[in-house]
Amino acid sequence: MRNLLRVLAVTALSVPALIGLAGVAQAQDKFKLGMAVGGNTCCEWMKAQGDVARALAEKNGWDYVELSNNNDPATALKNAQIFVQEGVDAVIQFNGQAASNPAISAVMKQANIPIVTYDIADPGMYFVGIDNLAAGIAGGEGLGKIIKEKWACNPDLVVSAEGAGAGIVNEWRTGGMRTGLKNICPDIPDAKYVSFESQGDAAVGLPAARDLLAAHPEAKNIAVVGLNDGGVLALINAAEQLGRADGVIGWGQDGAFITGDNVNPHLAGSVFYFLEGYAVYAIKDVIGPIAAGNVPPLKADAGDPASKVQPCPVTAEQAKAVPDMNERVKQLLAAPAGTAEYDLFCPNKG
Amino acid sequence: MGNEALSPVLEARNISRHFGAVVALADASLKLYPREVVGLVGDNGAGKSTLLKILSGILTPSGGEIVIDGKPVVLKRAQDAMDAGIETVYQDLALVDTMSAYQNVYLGREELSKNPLAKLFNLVDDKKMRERAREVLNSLQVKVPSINVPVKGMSGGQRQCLAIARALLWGRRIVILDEPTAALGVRETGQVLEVIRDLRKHDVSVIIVSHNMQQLMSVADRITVMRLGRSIATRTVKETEVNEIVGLITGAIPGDSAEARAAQVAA
Amino acid sequence: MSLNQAIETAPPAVPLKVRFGGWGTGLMLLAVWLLLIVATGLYRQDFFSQQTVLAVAFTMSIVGVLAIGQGLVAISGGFIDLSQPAGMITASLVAVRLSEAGMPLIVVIIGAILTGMVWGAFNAAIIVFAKLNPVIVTLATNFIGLAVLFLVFQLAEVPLNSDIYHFGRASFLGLPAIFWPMLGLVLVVGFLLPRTKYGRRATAVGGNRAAAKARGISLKATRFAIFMAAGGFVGFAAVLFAATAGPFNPGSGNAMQLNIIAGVILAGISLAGGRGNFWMLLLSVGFLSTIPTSLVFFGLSSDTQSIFQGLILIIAVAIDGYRARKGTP
Repeated sequence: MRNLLRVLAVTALSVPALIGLAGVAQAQDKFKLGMAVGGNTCCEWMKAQGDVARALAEKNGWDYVELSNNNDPATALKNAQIFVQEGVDAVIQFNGQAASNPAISAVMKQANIPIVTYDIADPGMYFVGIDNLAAGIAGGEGLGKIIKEKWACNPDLVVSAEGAGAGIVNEWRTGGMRTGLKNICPDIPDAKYVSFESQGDAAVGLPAARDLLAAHPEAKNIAVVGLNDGGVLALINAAEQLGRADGVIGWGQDGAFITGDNVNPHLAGSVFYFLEGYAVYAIKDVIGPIAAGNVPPLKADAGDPASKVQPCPVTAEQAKAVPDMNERVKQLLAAPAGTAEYDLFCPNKG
Repeated sequence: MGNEALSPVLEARNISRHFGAVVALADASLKLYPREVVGLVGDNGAGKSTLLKILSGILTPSGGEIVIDGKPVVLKRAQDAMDAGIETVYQDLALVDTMSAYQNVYLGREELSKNPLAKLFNLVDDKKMRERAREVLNSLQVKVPSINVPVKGMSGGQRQCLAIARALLWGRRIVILDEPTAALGVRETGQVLEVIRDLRKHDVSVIIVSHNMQQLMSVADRITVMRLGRSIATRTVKETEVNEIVGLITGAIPGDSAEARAAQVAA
Repeated sequence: MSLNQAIETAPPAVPLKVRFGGWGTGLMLLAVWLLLIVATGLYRQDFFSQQTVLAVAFTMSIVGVLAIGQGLVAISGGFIDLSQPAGMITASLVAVRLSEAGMPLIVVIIGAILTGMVWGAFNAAIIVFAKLNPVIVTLATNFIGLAVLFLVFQLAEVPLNSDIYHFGRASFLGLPAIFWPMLGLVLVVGFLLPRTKYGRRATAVGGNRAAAKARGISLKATRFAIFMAAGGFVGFAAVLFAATAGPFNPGSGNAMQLNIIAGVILAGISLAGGRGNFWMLLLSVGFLSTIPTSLVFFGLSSDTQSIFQGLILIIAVAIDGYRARKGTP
């Protein structure tokens, strides 16, 4: 009886091991891509980033390993070590909590595995991401055109919904939006530019937005820029509650609240990044060449990226023509290799 | 006292209690007559607390019988003892510090307002509770600074008196006091003893546990002595003196009964 | 009458502070609140405007209703309920889904309140049956709740132009529509709690569990009832939150937690239990909700707001500790 159990146990343990060995043997000559998504519980687009990468890897005939950083820097570092053990040839990651990026860089450098990072730069990683400053400027110019037409470039207030937690990205986007607005309406005096901390969240930023409006009781025509759509919406909602929304025109970033049937009428536009489709850029400019044996030079700076994602400013009207994310992913994967979502869906190409 | 002609209001017959192999109480019996104060004495570990806990329903006896007004009762929970008319006042007093005297006295048995609308929400009738609380405290000559302020600031004696008054107000006929004056000063002790004596006038019988013999002799009618888990003797206070009681406690004087002899053998 | 005097004039005489203790907290709060208002008004006269009143009243409304729930838990000896954010977002999600389904506002409100009560019962069940510390349990259920919420949804928002959407933007007698139910609830709870049988027993459980139990009060039943009632208030706060917040995510409720706890402590509702006047919540929450608005008028950034909030919480806890030692209400 006991011997029988022992035999069963050994068999049970060895079967998967053998299958694993066989898999390793087969994978020896195959290119293997590792992808660490930001997290599976936060946002649809984080999951979609992995789905697109997986589909493109399969198209290229590569092996694909996906792990989740769970929006946690320590998990991101552990995932990097797993990728090394797995013997991947290249890694793509989105690490929203960038604290562990230097350590991850070091791990990858030691194992001599190139790594691409999305949107948050690290000196040891290929940078693929949105040009946040350009996205800000494009959005600001979009808003400026409306302000010029409706208020002859003379708003009572220009409010910026900041999210200081996003650091330099916040400065690029909100600063870029102010710059873009000034490109169209250069004569708005500096005193009219004010800001509040929205934390990039419509609900969390709401009380601060109400306070800001209360502190400017005389302002009627209010232009709003922000780190993202959520921050801009915080001010719009606050204005609705204080009975002043009629004079508010906002333009956001990231396109989170510009699609669907629940778009706030005071949100005049936003900027799409098409986050879910970043893998197209990463594979076209970094991973593809590596798989083909031509390792490109390391471009780690957000100002001079390995691959620049094109921002797509849209008015609320134009946004209606943009399909929702699931549909976009479907069409993207059906398109010829190297086609980006910007090419497919942006109604307002620079 | 001359109460023996009456039947006892509470009688504990041959109560025993084991904790596994350990015998905490071997054989204890006790009688309490109407309007009587009985002192319960014994050395540490003689079984006084175990007996008190059994009479308060906190512990169930392993053997024996509790009889109230001639009827056997089973006390499984503290609530059963309260329902049977037994109120136990512990050393820690069990008052809510943040509530006032009258609220404490009425806690768990609040008088509800008669107003139909107020009744709907279970509103309490504070006026009535204050009045009744004052009456009871007054009839027991209990002095507190105000019945409307939190009891936290009150002295140990005042708190002890409140707890005793509560028993009276709730219509209890038997009050068990565990070391009621242990933590009190001389004046306060006097006040509490006065209240205990007054309970007689209100048809309440008292069992009191104390280490202070002088005090017991001044307040009790009879004293039951326990030794090694057994009740070995009961003396009428008028016919005994401190030395005899102390002798019984220590074993220098043998007890009365067969149980007492058994206790001696065991020792 | 002379009888009563005989009892009550016995030494030591009651200090005046004890007699006025209940209102001392209120007077102090009112004084600091007025001081803040006057100081801000002197610095910038346009502080005295309808816009300021609206901004403060909106903030007060949700915090106020949550503070009632938090206060009930505190006064009955549960210390604090750290799971309010997850409970509120869950109930808000139910409110959103019901309004998306086109349900009338009353159904949305009832649905959210019931969700909150179920959440409270879930907390109470763990605390009562596993006999665990309520603070640790609610800390854990908040984590669990948020994690599950993240699996269930990323963003939710009541439909534009639904009943609840308009409720969140309407005003009545110059104040937000959502302010009035908060005011009513604080007044009613503040009236009933010290004057009803159940309120008094819950307070006693918070003051001294052993004493309450010895009086035949069931600790389990009390805890269940309190957590479910507190959950009901969280559920109603969720209606106000969903009505006003715009798009929210599972983490959007976290930021309110500290303010609510500070409001409860400042109001004199003891975290140790057994003591507190819920009417004081109007003053403490009003004061706390005015601070960020005032800071904006003084031109201070949001970073300074966090510093102020932290300082006020520490001061509030210190006052609570002082009160507990002194035994004044």
